[in-house]
Amino acid sequence: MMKKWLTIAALALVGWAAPMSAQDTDVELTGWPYQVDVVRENLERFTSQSGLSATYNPFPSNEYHTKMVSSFASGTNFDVVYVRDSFLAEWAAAGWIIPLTGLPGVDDYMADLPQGIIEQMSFEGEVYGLPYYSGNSVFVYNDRLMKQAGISSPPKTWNDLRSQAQTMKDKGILPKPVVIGLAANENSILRTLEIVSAGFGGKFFNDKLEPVFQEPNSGVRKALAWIADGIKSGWINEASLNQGDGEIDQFMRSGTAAFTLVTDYEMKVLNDSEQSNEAGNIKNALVPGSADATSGTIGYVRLYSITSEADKEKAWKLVQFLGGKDATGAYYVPKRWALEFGLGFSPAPLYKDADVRNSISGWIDPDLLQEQAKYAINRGYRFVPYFSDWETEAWGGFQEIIGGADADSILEELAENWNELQSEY
Amino acid sequence: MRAFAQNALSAMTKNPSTEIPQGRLALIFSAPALLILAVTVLVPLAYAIYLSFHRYNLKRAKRPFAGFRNYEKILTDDKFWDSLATSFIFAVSAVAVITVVSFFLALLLDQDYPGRGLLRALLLIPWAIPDVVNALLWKWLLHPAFGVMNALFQMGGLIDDYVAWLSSMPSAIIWVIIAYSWKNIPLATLLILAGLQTIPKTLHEAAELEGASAWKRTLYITLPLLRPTLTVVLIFETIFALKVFDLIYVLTSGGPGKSTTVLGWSIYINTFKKLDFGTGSALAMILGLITLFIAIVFYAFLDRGEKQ
Repeated sequence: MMKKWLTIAALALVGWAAPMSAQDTDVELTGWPYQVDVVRENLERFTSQSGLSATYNPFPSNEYHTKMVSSFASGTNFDVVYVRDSFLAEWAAAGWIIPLTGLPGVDDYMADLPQGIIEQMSFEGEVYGLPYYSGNSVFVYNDRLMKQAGISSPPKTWNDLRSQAQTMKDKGILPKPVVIGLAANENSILRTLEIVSAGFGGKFFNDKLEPVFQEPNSGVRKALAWIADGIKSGWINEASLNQGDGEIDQFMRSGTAAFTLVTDYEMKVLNDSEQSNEAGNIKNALVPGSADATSGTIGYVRLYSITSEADKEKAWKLVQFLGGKDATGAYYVPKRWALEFGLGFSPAPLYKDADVRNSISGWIDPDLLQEQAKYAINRGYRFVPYFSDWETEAWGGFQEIIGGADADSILEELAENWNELQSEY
Repeated sequence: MRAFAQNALSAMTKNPSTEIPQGRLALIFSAPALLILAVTVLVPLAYAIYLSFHRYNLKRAKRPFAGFRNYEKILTDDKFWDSLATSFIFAVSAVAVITVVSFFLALLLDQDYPGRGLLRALLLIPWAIPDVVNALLWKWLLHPAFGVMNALFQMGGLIDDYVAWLSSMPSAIIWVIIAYSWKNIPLATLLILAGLQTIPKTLHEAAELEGASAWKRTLYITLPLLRPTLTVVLIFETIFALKVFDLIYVLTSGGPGKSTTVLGWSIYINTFKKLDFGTGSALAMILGLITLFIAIVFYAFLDRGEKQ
């Protein structure tokens, strides 16, 4: 009797759930929830042009990686997904996303993209998507506060930055002029260290993916010492240890910080009079360097990829619309992101587009931006599947060193941890 | 409708032809609740135990049986002992603050004075706020550039410049304890207040007639009679405090360095950042066993007190 009732209940549940899981759209897109309404508007245009229906169901940005991996592992699938370059290798190696090899028109798109971007979208020699947006981290300063301090030009080296910040502090203009992202999360401390280390001529790993950050006198050690000194002396705001990507903007927009490192597209918000008290005062300059390097930065690319479970033909149509050209032959979506939201772009035709050039020069110096891109470092080590395991351990360790803990033992331990993970995988 | 149900129930239990034994009837009525409990608690718990004995990482295709290796790895790792120590420091401090403040608040609310009802209602506000909202509220209160706390302290002459309270120690953990206590004091106060109201007023009146001061009445009448309530408060609050996660997630992310990395945060990092469900589940089992042990000790203490 009990068994019979349980069977009826199970059938009822299945019957109720089945219509809900039925595929009633042609292509399902997922990503993080940036400008959800705009994405949906774009999808409406896609539907009107292609006749294919498309839905967009985003996951929270901070939990995106976890949610997606859980979804892939549990068999829940989407057709087209946003991918960050940092976890491209992991998803490609697991077979959750597929390469674009052999799809119609791929070569034409590749011809429009810089080689660096193509490499960042590749795993084991195959390209896994078209760019959603891309760009570099840039150094920004508040020109009004610089003039107030009697400083005529932005710093060229990290030591210049130290003295300029100290001047501002001594003159009582700002108590803690530098804020940088040193929070313990994916988008903060390690990225900042990569940029500062590059300016000191250093890197975390060599071409064979062996750790070199722990070596005596390495650029990473110099970067850590420079930051630790800044926080101890007060010219770097100690709040940096708790600030992530978007939070730093608040300091620059309110004029409570004069120098920082941000991703290029954030400059649009910093110079938007509706969102920033310092609109018009925030300028970009080359990221400072040292005797060992003129400058250094990190590039990024976010891409649209096709999942292994998708209807390849339909999904490729959506990927082309989002990251490439629409039915009119224009880079409609990338251009819209650039014009309306300042997101970085890669296709060469957009660099020549008059609308785009006019639009971005209102909030960023495009020539300096292009110059900065030349100093982007290779971060191939981020494309190994165990990188996220290692960096999760590293965040706290680097914060401890900045806080004054013994750098030798922590760096050695982190190097050992990398080697162990490498052998495990 | 109610009368119908009562009649039906009465018929079922009294009519010899349809009589169902009391034990079985209880089981039938409890079955829906037990089923929900089994699905939402026991199955996940059993699965977590299963995971804790496997090398289960979502990024790896193979998930072999690992025996006690996850537990061995955790127990031989200094980071585990550091986070356990931080959890205990946090729990002991928070529970002490919550219990002491709640006790005095409950004494205050137990008195007769105008506006007592309003005060009791106001007390519930922090408790009604969701945990994450509470954490975000404190994050803004403590903001290093725009925080109200900084403004107040500066106006009061306590600080010269705004301070990044959550970026250095010991201020980071102190503020986390304060934020946690603010949220959890209402529940403890209500429990203690309920306990206070079970103490006969005549005991206090008699002691007062004998010349006992308010302090002595609290020490020799209120506290001993409140012992069962205080034990329950201690059990609940200790278990809640050992499991803290939301506040750490929003306020400090376990930092600066690893100084606010409690066990709850370690479980999150292992499970949801490294996607190592085996280690994360083993850590959760260890935390579960620790809280169970603490609850048993408290109950034993309560039991001994009642026997005395």
